[in-house]
Amino acid sequence: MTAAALLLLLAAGPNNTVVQLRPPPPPEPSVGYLIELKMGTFIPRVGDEKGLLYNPYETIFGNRSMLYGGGEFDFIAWHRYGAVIVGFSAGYSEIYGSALLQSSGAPSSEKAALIVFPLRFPVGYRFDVTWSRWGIPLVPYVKFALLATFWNATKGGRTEVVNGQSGNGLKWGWGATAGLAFMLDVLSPQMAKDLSTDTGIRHSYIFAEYNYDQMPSFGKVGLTLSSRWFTFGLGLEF
Amino acid sequence: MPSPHRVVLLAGLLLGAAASAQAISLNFVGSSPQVTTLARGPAGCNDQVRVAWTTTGLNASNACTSLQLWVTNSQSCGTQPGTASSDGGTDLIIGTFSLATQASGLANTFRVADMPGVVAAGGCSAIADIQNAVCSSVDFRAAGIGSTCGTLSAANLIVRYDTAPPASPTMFLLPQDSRIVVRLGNNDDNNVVNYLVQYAVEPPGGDLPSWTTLPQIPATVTSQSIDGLINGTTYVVQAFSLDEVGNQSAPSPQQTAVPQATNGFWAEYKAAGGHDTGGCSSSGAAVPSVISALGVLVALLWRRR
Repeated sequence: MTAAALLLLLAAGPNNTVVQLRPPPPPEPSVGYLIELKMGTFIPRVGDEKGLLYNPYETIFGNRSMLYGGGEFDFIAWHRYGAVIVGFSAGYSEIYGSALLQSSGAPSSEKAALIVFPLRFPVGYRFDVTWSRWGIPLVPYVKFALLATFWNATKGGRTEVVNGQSGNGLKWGWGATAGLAFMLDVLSPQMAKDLSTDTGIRHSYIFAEYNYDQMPSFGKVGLTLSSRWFTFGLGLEF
Repeated sequence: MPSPHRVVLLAGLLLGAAASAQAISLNFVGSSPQVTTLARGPAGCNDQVRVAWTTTGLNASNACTSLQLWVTNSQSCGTQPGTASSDGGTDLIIGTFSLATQASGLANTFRVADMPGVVAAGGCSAIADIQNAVCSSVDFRAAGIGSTCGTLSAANLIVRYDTAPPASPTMFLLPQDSRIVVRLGNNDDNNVVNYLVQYAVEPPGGDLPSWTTLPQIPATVTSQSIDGLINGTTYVVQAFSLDEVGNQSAPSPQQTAVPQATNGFWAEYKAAGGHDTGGCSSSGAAVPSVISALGVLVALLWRRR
């Protein structure tokens, strides 16, 4: 069969079309890692706590969202039909408002702030077959994460203390994330190849994801920092 | 065979090297680290100052005169001590040394009060910022025996007597919960190095305030907090600037402020009936357990790799 094909090619001569036989793309490595930078905004659902007379977040900060910035590192533990990842994510978020005068409730010159340091320990699945086998530059993924969020309420730059109780703590919870990544490789395959050769970055992508975070802190009633929010960012796969 | 241009260039280089081989250096004795400007205020008017000198490449064979050291109030040192009023008055000679016997030594000790500039201004009580230079010079033969003498001088030290107070600081008060934040500015006076803040409960009638003085803060810190105040009480605050030698400005215009109780997010949360008690104890024993479990998980995954 091969000899016949060769004879056909030789007989076709120089003016005819030559069929190029391209080797299949190399399989994706079974392990690797992802680095992501992300940002977003969210409003903690402080008012969801049972028994609250009013929402203190709205009282101090109004309807404004907290600005979030952070990063995530994921280890690709399994990579065959899609990829399973396990990782760690850390971020920072803050919001400032005016402390209120106790006498009148009017805003004072003193600044009050809520600062949170969200940590996530995600396990996820990326259905990257869409890109690696089908060439569709969209990769959907889901993650489930253990959440640990340090929080600190300050007034005048110091942790606020009320009746001897410090306004800081650690909340535990879980989170579910669904996202979609757009593979930037599709915009310039040659550049993507060069990037892989020169730096080891196999793929780069931008992504958008929706986060459903619940922080029941093991059933203990307290400050609720649960939220439903979007994050956006840039990711690199090594 | 070298060209004439090369010969001229070589001769120039050799002469330049010969000229730069002679030098005089001056240092203040006892200043650590070494400084080239010594500043004193009113409290240091009678301080003793001593200068050490060292020469390089000067000796009996090329020195035409003795080395002279003096303190001058003049704009420039010149080549020898001046006596004319145009020189800022009679310069203070602090030593004459023969380079035939020594290449380094100590000049005579002098008091800041004896410097020509301070004497001319009326002594220690003068309100001024006076800078006097320590000068030295010697005549020597740059081109060897038989050549004409030129003058080598050094004037790298300044002694400053400063009794002029800096400008009063600008001040702005922010009353807060149980405290007042004092915002300070140097009033465009770059000599200010420290601030001093005083506060007192506003006295009734025309009584004088009973001031409490806070520790000095550097002028790079433009905000100071007065803590532990009683909400609802009127406090009066004033501030001073201090310069490098401790001269204190006139007080800033006094201002009053009343600290008032405020609620931040945490106080509002508790006021709304929030159940959280704060602190990290809320995590309980779950923290180490979960972190340990995560550690085991990561280790297992890593082994698979």
